Amino acid sequence: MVFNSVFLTVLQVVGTLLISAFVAYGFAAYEFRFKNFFFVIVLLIMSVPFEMLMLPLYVQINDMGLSDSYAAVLLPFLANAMTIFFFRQYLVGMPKEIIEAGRIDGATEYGIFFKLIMPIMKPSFAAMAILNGMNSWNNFLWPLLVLRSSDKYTLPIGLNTLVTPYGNNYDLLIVGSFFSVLPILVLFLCFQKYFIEGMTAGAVKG
Amino acid sequence: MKTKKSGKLAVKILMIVLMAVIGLMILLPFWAIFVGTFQEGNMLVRYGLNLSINLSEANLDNWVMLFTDSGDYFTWFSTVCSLLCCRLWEPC
Amino acid sequence: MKKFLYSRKAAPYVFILPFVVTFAVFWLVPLIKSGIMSTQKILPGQETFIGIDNFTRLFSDRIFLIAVGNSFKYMIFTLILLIPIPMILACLVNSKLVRGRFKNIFKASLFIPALTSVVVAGTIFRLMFGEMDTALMNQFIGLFGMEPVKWLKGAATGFVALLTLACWRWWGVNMMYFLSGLQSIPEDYYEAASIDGATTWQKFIKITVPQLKPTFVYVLTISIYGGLAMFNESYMLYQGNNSPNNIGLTIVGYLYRQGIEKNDMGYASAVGVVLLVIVLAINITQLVATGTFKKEDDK
Repeated sequence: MVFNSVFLTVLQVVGTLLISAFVAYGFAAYEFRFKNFFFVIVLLIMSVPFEMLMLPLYVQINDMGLSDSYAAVLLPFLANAMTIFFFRQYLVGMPKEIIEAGRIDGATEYGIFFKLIMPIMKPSFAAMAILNGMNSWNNFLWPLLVLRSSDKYTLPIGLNTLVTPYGNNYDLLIVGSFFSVLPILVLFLCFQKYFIEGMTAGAVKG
Repeated sequence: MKTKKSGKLAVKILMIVLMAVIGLMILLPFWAIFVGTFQEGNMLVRYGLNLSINLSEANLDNWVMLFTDSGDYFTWFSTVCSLLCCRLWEPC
Repeated sequence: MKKFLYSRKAAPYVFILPFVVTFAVFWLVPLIKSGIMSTQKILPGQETFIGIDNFTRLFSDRIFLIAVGNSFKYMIFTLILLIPIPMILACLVNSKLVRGRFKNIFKASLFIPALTSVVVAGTIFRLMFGEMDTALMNQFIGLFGMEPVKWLKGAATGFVALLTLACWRWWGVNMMYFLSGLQSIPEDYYEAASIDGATTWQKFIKITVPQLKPTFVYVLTISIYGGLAMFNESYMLYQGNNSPNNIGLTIVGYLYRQGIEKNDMGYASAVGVVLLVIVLAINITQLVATGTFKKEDDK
């Protein structure tokens, strides 16, 4: 249960960051048709309650044969609108000469992103890694819907199953709950600055 | 001039007290659950969580159970620790 | 083919492709599906078009109206409790009267509850709001000579518990939003005002408040959204989706009950559509009223 949580958290953070950064670079570095159209969609997604899409998404995941799998938990959040938005804001301020210099050196468009852009994005990665990690670690409703077999449960759902109308296991629930806060607390105390940067990222540009 | 200075001091003390009280109130639930980990679960359901330790009934049974019955926690803890080490070591 | 993919013309589309695919598969399709499902009666393996029947049924559904009422009540109270107080706290933290280390401890302690999973928070609060006189909250009101209360059984007291939980978890986060807003105000503004002889109060009204407006609008938007879509907190506090007399039932809770527990997907989709319309309507009105759209046009 605990290993599942860690595994899912790591996978989700790495996947989301890579893909979102990739997309954000596309928005920040190029001029192309429909660019504004797609960017408005990014903003729109940020204001649609996920809970509203939950049911049809659940039906769809079942139709795709993905129910009770980690893919179902991860896929809908991989290209995360909030993260794309943050990276794009960060990259818009980057000097365009870096890209030009890369092109002169004969790097491909993708080579430029992986070799030149990713390294300068490091500080913003930290903030987003922590924000996404926190959300994934504490995610409750969606995994509760799609995961069925108890050996696949994540920590929050696992803890939740200890309390049922048929009998409670408060002994384990209390100590397990207290203990589940510790790792993220340690992370927070070490990387306070990045936590706060990540959380407040959306508000800065209003 | 003197009254202005002492006024400022009073405001400062007031602010510190206010912040201390709010901060402590926010942290109280964590203390409550920490104390709760030493009590028996069924007692907690019946009597609720509070801040005092009932020393005569306090024991480490829950903690022992956590580390013996659910071995998952060990995997988890070592994973988090190694993740943490990687992040600390990586030059930012 | 490979040459085309590596060309400068095609590259931007390749870059945003992952987003477009996820968006289409996991947002657009479900969104359309949700619209279609809301006009259908759905039984296993059989879907019949019934027009707006789901919606007419919804608006005469007493329990749905209770859920809408609860969500609105919760949203309004969270707006009252979760915006002004964190704003004041942020001003306290930002003032120069108090020293650095103490401030940092204060900031950290307010932020820590946001790190806890809703499962953990719900468990702690359920036990703190226990029924006996030994539970923390009953001990607390006992200090003022009040009798122990069965918090989670009554509508008003249950709401107090929910709101306490919300304040506990979100004060710190909202405070951080305001704090980052406050810190982005250039120091020169205040210095210029001091030279002109402005009092602290004047500086607050003339500089701080207008400069904080974008932050305020952002916090307002996410609070409206969060308040109306609240489900987890009530689910955890009441150990499931069934609270006594539905005092803790929210719109999303009703959607969950109809769609998952009763397997009436069509009806549940109608609930979802109503929720989306309400959230969008309120937020667009709010954004127009605060003039956020106008600013975008000027650019």
